[in-house]
Amino acid sequence: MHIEEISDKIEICAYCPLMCQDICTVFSETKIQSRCPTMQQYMLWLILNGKETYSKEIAEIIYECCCSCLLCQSWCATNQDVPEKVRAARRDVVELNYAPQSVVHLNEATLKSHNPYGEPHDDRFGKIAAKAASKDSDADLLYFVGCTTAYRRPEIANAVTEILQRANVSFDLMKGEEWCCGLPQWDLGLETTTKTLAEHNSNYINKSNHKTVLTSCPECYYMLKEVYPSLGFPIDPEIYHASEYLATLIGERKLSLKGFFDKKVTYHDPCYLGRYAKIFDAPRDVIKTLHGIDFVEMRWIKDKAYCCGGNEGFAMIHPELSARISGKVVDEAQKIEVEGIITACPMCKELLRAHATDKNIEIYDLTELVAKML
Amino acid sequence: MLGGADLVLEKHRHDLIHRQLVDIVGEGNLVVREIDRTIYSIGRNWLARTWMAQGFPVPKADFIVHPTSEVDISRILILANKENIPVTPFGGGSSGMGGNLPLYGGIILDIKKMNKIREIDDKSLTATVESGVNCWKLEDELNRLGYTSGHLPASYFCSCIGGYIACRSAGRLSTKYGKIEDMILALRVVLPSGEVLQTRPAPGKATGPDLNHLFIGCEGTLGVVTQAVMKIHHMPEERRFRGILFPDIHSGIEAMRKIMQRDIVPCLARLYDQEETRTKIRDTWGIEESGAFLVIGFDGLKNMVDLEETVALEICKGEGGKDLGREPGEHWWEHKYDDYYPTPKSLKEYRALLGGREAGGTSDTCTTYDKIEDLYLAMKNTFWEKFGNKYKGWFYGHFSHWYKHGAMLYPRWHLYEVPEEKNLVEIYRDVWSTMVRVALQHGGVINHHHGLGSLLGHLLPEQYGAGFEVLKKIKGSLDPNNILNPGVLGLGGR
Repeated sequence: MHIEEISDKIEICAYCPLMCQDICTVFSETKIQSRCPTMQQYMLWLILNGKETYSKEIAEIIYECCCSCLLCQSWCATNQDVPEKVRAARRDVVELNYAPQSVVHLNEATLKSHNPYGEPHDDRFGKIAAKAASKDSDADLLYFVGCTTAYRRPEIANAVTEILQRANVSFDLMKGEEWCCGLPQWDLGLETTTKTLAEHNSNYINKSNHKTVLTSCPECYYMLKEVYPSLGFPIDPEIYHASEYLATLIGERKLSLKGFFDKKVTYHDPCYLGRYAKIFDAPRDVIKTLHGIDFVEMRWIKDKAYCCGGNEGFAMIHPELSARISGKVVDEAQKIEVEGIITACPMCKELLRAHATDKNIEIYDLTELVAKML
Repeated sequence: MLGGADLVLEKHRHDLIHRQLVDIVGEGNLVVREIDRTIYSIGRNWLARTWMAQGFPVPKADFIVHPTSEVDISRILILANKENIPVTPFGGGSSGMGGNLPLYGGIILDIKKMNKIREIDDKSLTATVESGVNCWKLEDELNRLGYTSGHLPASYFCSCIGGYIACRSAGRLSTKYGKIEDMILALRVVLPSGEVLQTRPAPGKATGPDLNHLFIGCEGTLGVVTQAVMKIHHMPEERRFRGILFPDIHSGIEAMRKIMQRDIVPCLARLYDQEETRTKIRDTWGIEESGAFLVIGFDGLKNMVDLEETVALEICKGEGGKDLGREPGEHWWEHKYDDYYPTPKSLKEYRALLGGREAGGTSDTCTTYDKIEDLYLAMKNTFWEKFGNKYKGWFYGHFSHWYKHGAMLYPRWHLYEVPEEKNLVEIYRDVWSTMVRVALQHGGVINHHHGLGSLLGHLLPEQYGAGFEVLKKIKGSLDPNNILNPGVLGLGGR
């Protein structure tokens, strides 16, 4: 069992007196004891010690108990990585064929269409404006678009490409060769599929001559930068998230922001950009350069920011729970009476916007705002 | 678990009850998975974890329900009475005393979805909250608005108001802000019959016995608290801490007695005995010198804090206390929860303790100043004579909730080497009972702020004497079918 490889880490959580129970994003919504980190890890302890065995019933809990937001780690005095332990259990469950049907379907969709949504691969860049689709094989920069941006929030890709063009940065897309980064599959324990995706993407990127890979999705960013090397598929070019890249372009005066944005807004830290990749300042630095903006922070920010409802995988497997979680971020923003929430993640935008309309709160991706100000 | 010999009838009855519970709370608020029932039943409880580790069956509830309204709770209790099913109220699940072990199966009534902060009255300084509100979420909301509840227990991140009320909880700042029973102005309670009782939030009254105190500490045996009106406070203008080292525990207790009796009320005062100073305090907070370490804090208006701190320091110095300055005190406050987290270093100890091979506990008690030192020495000596030497144990203690007239003693003990042929659970129970009886013989009480649960409930008649019959009659009158949390507080099982 994969959990045997990290049994010491599992025990530390299993013996903890519930210190992050009400910190936990999923527990805070479900209020079911087996969803809190201590008791989910105690459940794994029971399996490790032969008191329980994996089953379909236990598998359902393993998939529901953690949205991988890593908020628990930010409060933990011993810095425990609960999602790592849950991923190990999910790998066990997949190998034992106990994974829920929704996970099986996501895996099948990925294998067939190279994206977890099951959307046609040929349509991957269909919603991206033509000006961005020109191939420039000599370009220094490769823009890795990502599935959620491509199929759900293409306006972000259009903003990114517009910014690149205005900054005179030559860029390329992977087009038919861009497959899902693999983060949803990695998080759901679909190890074989994850490696297939990582190997394909890393091979293509490393064979190209690009010096830089740019992502506008924190999940893609974290996957390419941190997880691919751990899987044995390191990416040679430098990898940047759009927020870092924008901060550099603005700092080097390669972008001139002329517009005026006269709104009171806040910033939501995406989990994979913030807690995972530790990028907290770059997006804020960019926001503060926008003329006219009235920027205020929410109560809990940076490493202690609330999660918006999980990564693509969790949100697809548990849409109803994910939606309840994302509502809390909008509620927090409402308490500080903002007109808009800026984020830097297509998944965050996708999840938050469902709650924002009723509350007259606009959700922006950072790249969109910058593109508007050009 | 529901009872009855005929399995078919039993299944039929189970299904009927299932359907009625779905009618009441909805499918989404009913949990029946086997593994969930196991997890709920074990929780953080040492006994249950040891049973599990040693391969013994653990009592499980048949259903776990999450009511979302007082009406839901009322209907569940009416159903439970009709079907004669036990109901175990369940809060954050941090109980180590077996107060939420579903000993007789039935229904676990998890109140955590009743978690609304209904009103914050900034004129009267009260907060009206549902009983499932988690402590840190309440405190966070209050802090956001410039207030505090003053209630910061170790279980801050997992427990809820209803659990505190059930077990008479105390927090870090109890010396100034009081225990939970001092913080409650009014309650709403669903009685076992399903009727709802509400007390008035008047800060003073001369209207007979205070019904709040019938339910505070009842551990879910007399009713289910659904809502509380709590006292709140403005966030203090100043809050500061410092460390003081006394030559021994006697001088530390004397200093604290004199401080409290001069009407100087620290927000925090935690005096560790020499053993705890030499081990945990040194390891956790880096205090290397020997003696009895006191962390003391004051909060409020800055001028008042200045004065209180000055007078307290003078008293401490008069008793031989050495002022270690603010750094150890502030460090303690910043890391006040850290030593509850298991670490790679402490893993071996936890593994043995919660893996069914070692035993440990906390026999907190409270008495008046004339008896407190004798009580401390008696518990310590008895532990070493009867258990510590025999089973390679450790014992240390601290005093962390101070009153004008006495103090709370928090002795912690551990047994490392119980021979295989000995029954670990029996020895565990024996230590608890022995420590409690020493406390009672020396003018103490069975417990100060964790409740009795099913672990210590059977000892309550020894403390109450004839008074226990009064409690039993109240229980019999309010809950004639004994559906609410049977087996705790010594009120009898089923």
